[in-house]
Amino acid sequence: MLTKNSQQNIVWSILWAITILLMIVLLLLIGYVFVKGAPEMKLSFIFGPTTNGGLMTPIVGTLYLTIMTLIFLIPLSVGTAVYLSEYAEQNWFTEFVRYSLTSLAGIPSIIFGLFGVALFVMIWFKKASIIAGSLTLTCLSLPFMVATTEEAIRSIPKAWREASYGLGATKWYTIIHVVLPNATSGILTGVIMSIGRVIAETAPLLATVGFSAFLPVSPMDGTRTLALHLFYLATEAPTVGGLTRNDLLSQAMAVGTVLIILIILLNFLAKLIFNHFNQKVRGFK
Amino acid sequence: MKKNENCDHIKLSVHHLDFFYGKKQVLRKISMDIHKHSITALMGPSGCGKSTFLRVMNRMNDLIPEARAIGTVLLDNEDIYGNNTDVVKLRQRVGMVFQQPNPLPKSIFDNMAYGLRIKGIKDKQKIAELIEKSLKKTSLWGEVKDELHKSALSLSGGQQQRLCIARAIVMEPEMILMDEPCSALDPISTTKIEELMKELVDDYTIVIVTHNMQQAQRVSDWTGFFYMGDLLEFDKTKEIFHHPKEKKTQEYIEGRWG
Repeated sequence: MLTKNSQQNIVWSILWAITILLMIVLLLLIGYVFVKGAPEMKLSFIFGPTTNGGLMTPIVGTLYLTIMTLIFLIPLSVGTAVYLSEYAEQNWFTEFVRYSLTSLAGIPSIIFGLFGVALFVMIWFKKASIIAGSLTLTCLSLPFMVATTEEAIRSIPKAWREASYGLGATKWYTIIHVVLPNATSGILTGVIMSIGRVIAETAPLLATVGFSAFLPVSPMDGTRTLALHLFYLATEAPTVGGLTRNDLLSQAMAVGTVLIILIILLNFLAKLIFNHFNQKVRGFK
Repeated sequence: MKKNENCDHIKLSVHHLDFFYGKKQVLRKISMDIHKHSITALMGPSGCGKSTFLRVMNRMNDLIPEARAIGTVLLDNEDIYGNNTDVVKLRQRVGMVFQQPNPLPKSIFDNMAYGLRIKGIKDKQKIAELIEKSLKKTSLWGEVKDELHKSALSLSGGQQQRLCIARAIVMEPEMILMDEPCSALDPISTTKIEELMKELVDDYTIVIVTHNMQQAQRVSDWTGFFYMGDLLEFDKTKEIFHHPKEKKTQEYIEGRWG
């Protein structure tokens, strides 16, 4: 029989080993991409025009698409979450809405892509464009964003609402001045996760955004994201543009590097905004 | 000391009030007159309906779905459950202090200004003056005047509760409802709040729910004794404590149960 103490030590060691293993996998993965991509990581490549093989269009396209998606996503999901948690009565209709959202969350992203092509590309905008892509991504991220926002709203203590109502505030005033400001951190978590998704997705964007190598100006223009560009490089026929498969692969690795750095930067930015809000809300300026 | 004891003006008059949560009846045929510039204590064992009754007076129960009040509640002879009652205005006239101090997660200043902004007061000078006046009234001014922009959550429990009282009176209400305002506080803070109530009663009409019989005796002019949804006895506090008419009241006061 093992003593209680040695049992503890064994469990601790196993858990520790698993954690270290995970970290090694992560470091290997990022390290491999970084090392392989390093030879291609030149400013002329990163900021060069994509028509000459540079990354300017995918970088601009990714940011453009992310911002457009957030413009649609945040009001829609916050609005839905506020309605569901503050206004709607609990009945078959709200149950149905919730059930639909949960179901939507489980649908593969390529299906959203098909839907985006059918509605946004073929009927609404008649072409693959940033706006069609961002609307598709909005549909994709909506269930998750609504769930996180609802969660954040529900965690606001009843006492705060009572304080507000007790001073003569209406429901709307309370939502704007007490509920939403204090739910910002939860909402921002959802936003960060959604940004990650927008940057990483390829399937729903293949046919809704297209592969245009030109710098996008209007939301009606097509573009390509970094992830799409990576997909393009990894699958392209090796003869195009006189590049070998190896050249293309190391370019793809460089794109991967940029992608990872971009995600880290955006997360960092989101964290800064989050801290700013958090402090403002708590009254420390 | 209690100079308003004989004042026979009625601030709020409740008549034959029944109250339900869904199908469950929690108050039965309650009638009570709240006198102007007096402190009325609502007393009774847990679950007797005293807090519900308090929340009838500013319609805070409206927030609970399926809550229903039947009967008349007249504030200055106007039925607050009437069709043309503006609940927002009502809550500005009838302020409330809760059991747990509930400052909003904002600065002390913003907590105080919250209701004033709802009222539509925009003049910064005026807001600052009103806030100073109320904080002085609750003798919190000296303690917080240099840190008005610090979070209200950084105050101690007793200070938070006095802030909540200040936040209620800055609205210049006519009545203040207090739902066991001292139950989460230490004895020193409790004493401060009781003294404050005695000062405030010159300007306001106060109704307080309390578990604590000594507190009811110390501060109130009138006392209502609730039991299982009925108002068993309502009279001047001295009468209730010295000559209770109901056996249940007497037993409760003597501490035989509850």
